[in-house]
Amino acid sequence: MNWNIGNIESIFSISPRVKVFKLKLKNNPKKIIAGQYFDIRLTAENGFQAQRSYSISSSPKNLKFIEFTISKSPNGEVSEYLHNNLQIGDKIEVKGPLGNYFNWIPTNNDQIIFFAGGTGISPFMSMIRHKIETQNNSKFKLMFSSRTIKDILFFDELNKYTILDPSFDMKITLTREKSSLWKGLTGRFSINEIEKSLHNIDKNSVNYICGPTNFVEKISSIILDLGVNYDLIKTERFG
Amino acid sequence: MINKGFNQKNNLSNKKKLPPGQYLVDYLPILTAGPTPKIDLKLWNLEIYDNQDLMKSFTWEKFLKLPQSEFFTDIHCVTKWSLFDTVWKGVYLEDILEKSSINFSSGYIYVSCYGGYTTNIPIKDINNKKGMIAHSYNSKPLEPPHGGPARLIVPHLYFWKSAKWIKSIHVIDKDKPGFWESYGYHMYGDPWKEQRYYSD
Repeated sequence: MNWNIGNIESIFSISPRVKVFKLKLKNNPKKIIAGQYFDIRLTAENGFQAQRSYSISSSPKNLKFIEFTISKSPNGEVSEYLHNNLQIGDKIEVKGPLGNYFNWIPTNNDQIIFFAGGTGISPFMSMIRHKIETQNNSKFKLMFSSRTIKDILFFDELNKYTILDPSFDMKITLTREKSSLWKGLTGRFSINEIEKSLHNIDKNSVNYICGPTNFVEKISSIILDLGVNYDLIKTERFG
Repeated sequence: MINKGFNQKNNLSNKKKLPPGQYLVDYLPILTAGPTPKIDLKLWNLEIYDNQDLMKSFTWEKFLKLPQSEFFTDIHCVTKWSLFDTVWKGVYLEDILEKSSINFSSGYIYVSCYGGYTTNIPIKDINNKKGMIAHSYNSKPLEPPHGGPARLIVPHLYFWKSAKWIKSIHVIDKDKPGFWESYGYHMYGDPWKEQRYYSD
């Protein structure tokens, strides 16, 4: 697969540490599947290159424009440049779509539980947006862990989907929120809360987990202990 | 294409050359397609097959009695990170195959793991001490998220070939794709040729 060019169409801050980058691709891919990712390659004037992979958070229906939801990681060679230097109208090299495993290929009546930690929501946004756009009747349950109220990514949009689509349900927990304004769950998802999420959903439902390594290890271990079949758990760790 | 204002930021010691597209990290990241399986050492078993014929089976105790060696090596993950100077301890694959009375001068190995992961490697890539089944990392027992109790180490290929939680090895005549190879990754995976995806 050859490198493609992405023109930066827009950049939005959606939390103190996260920006959404919208790119227009020079060569449209034939197909994108929700959950796929692109490689981004940056090149310095001295020839030094750095590559990183980022999941697409936009709907896969749009082949011309793709969005990445990227957190600025401490000392992140690529993410720091994207956050601090990249401007609308700039061009970057991208390769993709890639990854044929951590995907959702829609069929009706799928039952899926998503566990997202922080920007681990990114591939799930692509899947959720695809479901909503196509009015797919699969049952989606999102368990979303964020730090504080300000860190909840796509909060309004996700809330809207819970109202629009009775087959989409969401539960959010905040691990570092001190404010009394937050009336929802706090701390890490408890075993009890995770067990509840597994109720009323088919035992053959697929469980997707995406986020920081500790988050993925913890959640996957709990749901294994709760009796979920190993083969029904798909994970994507930040490393 | 030059990205104006982009510079190398990573200050990690970079005395050695990195394969193309890789960056250096200073810890061993954890990347796996599924959960960390829960493995009881009392039930752990390593089975060696010549095609479909079971040739030898090692319990954990028997495995630890095989000739133990140290493997000092750099590793390169297809997700772009590389880690220099890692130290693994375990048993060279050729020692295990020899103990299993297998003629392994040609062909491939097809590795299966607890949890269902699989991968494929040419025999030539595990001969001459190029591949190991490791149970220790940097002088400590290998932690489960990193592949403990035992994982394959074939460090001259991308690290997805170094399968975690190894359970069996089939020596086969005809190559066949494993888990990631079936999902579009390269059949061989040489980091120096940047063989990440099937079309590379």
